[in-house]
Amino acid sequence: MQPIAEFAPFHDGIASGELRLPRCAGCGRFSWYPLPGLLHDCGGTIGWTAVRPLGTVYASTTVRRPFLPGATRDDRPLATGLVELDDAPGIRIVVRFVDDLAAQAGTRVVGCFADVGDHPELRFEPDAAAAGGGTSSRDSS
Amino acid sequence: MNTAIVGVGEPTPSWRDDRPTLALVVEAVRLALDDAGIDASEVDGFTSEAQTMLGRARPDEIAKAIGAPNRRFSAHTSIAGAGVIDAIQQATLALDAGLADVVVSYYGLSLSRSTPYSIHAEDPAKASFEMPFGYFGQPVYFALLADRYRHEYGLSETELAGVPIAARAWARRTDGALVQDPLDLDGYLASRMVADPLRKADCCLINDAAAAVVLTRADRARDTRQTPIVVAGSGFGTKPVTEADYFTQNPDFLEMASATSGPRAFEAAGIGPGDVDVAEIYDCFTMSVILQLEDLGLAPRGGGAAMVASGATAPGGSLPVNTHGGLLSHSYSVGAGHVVEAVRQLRHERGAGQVDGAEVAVVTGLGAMDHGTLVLTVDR
Repeated sequence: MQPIAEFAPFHDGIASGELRLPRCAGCGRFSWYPLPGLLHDCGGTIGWTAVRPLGTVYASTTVRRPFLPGATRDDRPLATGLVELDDAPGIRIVVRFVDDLAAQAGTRVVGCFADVGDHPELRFEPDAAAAGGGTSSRDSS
Repeated sequence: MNTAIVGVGEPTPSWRDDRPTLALVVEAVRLALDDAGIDASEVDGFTSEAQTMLGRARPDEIAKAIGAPNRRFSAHTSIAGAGVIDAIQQATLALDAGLADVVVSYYGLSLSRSTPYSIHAEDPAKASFEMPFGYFGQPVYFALLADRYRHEYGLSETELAGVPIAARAWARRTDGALVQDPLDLDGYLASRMVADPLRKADCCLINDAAAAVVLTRADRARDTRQTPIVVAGSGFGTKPVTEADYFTQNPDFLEMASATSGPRAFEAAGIGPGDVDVAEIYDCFTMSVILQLEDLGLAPRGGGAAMVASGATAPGGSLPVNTHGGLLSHSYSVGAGHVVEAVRQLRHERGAGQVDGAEVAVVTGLGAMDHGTLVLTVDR
């Protein structure tokens, strides 16, 4: 299924090398996921704002049996998880990890934009600048 | 007793049944009516889960197929397992209100002709904010729940293994359970990793199945073929998130809506978790069992994994759970089979799988942000 128009600012942001998230102009809280056609629960209007791709892993997993449409059992494992961003309190974003090495919960991570094929994608990896920046492992179990 | 389940029907599940889902459901309904000794012409109400049943097995079609011309009540509610349980609550409401006299509650599915994942791929928010980053498929959602649980409370492979090992032991005491091979810790550890830390053995089966129950009021219930099983209490609960964002944005990540549906059902029944003799807990994944046991107060918060690892939920344990093998080893009936099993336990007709002296059963159903809990008792 193709992403719908109301979600385009998120994808346009990644294409431009920015992580953009929907934020309420009224109360300042982030509204994630943004439901098309709705105002924020406070009644305010949603706008999109750029945030730093910097945060802490909430949970992660390495997916060894692919479920995505078109995936095959020969595909290499992928690593995905949830990250709480420093600049967007109250929400969690879904991330994929660089080189599909899952960073464990609690690890400080940073996102980077890299061309995959013909388009930029956002991937997260342990933040080298963070003191005691946690671990990264394909076999996190 | 106000309302009771007086008949249960569950065709033997199979990996592949070429009949339409409607035909499976109709067979389940006929079996349930025969079990109750009630003629189809008496049925005047139908309830079911809403998200899929209104497409696959509508009440008008079922009524015509079984010969129930006096349909005067229909209710269809919620999602997946939550809908299966809430449909029974709707049936009791209709009976209590006098809107119907004999209600059939049903569910059926044919996953041999589809996949459990496709419905999620149709969600535009998941397609935008989850799938591009590899987050897709229910095993992945529950793997993250397990990983977070591990981070907060600790969770070992041995602890996770407690759930599927107990389920298999119960399945081996149950005719018709789809998977009956022995499963021990070595077998569990040999099971293929799907999404760390969940293995294939942590995931429910994928099959074709249906089940139905017949409910009526006390006066009619005492005049049926079987021992009536009382619907002593029911509860419905939700989380403040949508179906799209539930698995990532649930504020209390390790708490499902069972944290509210459970207490509501117990309060309605006038009993507590300590009174439960047998628990049929929605086990789409091992992790969902551990979390619901904690939400319901059947295990301490953060102590569910240790409880299942202790063998407490296995045959001979202090709290038998999923005594037919559940979704993990009996069949994926989205919890409809859990209701059937609870009734059979309270009728004391489960033979090798019988929990001695069972008088109180709790049944739960999960459907993303919704959750239903049912308390069933013998007539006392």
